[in-house]
Amino acid sequence: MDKDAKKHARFTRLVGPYAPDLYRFGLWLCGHDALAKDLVQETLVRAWRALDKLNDEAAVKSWLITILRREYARTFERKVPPLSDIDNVVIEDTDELTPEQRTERSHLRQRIMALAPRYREPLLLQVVMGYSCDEIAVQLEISKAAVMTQLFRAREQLKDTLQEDGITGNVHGLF
Amino acid sequence: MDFSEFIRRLGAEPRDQQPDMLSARAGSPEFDRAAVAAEAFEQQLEAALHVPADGDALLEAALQWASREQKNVPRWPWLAVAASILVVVGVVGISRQGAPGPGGGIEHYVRAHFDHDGQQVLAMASEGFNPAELERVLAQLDKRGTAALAERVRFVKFCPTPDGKGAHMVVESESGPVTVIVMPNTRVENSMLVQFDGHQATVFPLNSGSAAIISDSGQQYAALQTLLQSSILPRSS
Repeated sequence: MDKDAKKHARFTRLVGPYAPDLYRFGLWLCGHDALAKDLVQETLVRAWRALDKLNDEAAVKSWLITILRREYARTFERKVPPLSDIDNVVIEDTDELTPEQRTERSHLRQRIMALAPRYREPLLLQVVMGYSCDEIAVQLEISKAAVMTQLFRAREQLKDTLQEDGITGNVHGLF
Repeated sequence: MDFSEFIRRLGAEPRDQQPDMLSARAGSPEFDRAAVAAEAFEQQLEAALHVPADGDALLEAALQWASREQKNVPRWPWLAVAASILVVVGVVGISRQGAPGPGGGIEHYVRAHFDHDGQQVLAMASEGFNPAELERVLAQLDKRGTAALAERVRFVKFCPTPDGKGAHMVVESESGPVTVIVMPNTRVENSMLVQFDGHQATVFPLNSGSAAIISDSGQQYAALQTLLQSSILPRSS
């Protein structure tokens, strides 16, 4: 196998499994499908260029997220439009939902997008990327206690606003 | 641990399996109910965040770029890559040695390009758009823009054109935001009107190259056309 083919294979093996979650993370950062795809594309391109410098393959997930977050801050954050198109992006859920459940999920998505970035980002790192609080603290360069506070407040805000919206079901009556 | 502390830790890590959390839950029905409710909400949250994602397509696009970079072909944003494939398929036969034949090639390109991402790009227009981005894009096309144009631009990105890289903009006109495609290497002798699917495109010559104003109204954009012609200039001028 020549050098290019080896790099291609390594890239696919290491990076491929994270591409869908990178897109989801980017989408919930940007709130816009086209921007999220461009952001992920830029991230993957930069990862390709720097692949030979990645020595610790166990760290590839955090490496990719670091690249994405830096690129978002550097270039894409100012391109985020004032209104998200999350409702237009989510075409169809694969699980079977009643109309009430669809409404609940739609409201929840809107409320997630409405969270302030300092609450939304750690939540995305935890729920979408599967980060622990310690890993989030390292990625965001803040203390673990601060991460836990932000995560708690993110969830509380989501529950509060959903109750204000009159959304019932599993959310109603929590705490 | 008191209930308040238990709730705070659940709120941060709903699936916390630390011994003290498990012990607290096992020792109190109230704590256990709170943990059950937290798990239910967490499942809702996961389901809401788990939108469809085609990882293979994203990876393939990146690998295609890598192959092009090795051949020194410039990379364009993901949507522009997809658009370039669409446009290349749709505009077979366009002359690349001067102005396209009357209508045919340009008409096909304008229509295909707008069909691909015209509405999406319009939706990305913003009052808070950074004018410096316009200069960055135009500079790479060996052009510059005037301040009068910059204050009207609401979005800009690179896009493929029949004759190389161009710019896809959203510009504030007399009657709202409209799409403008700048084709720096495509010459047209005279202005032409292209009608398609309820839209109208006015294609006209620039100082060098050409541009198209695309809108969904029957209005003419003479003032905007004049502005574009006087505001998109060779970088060396």
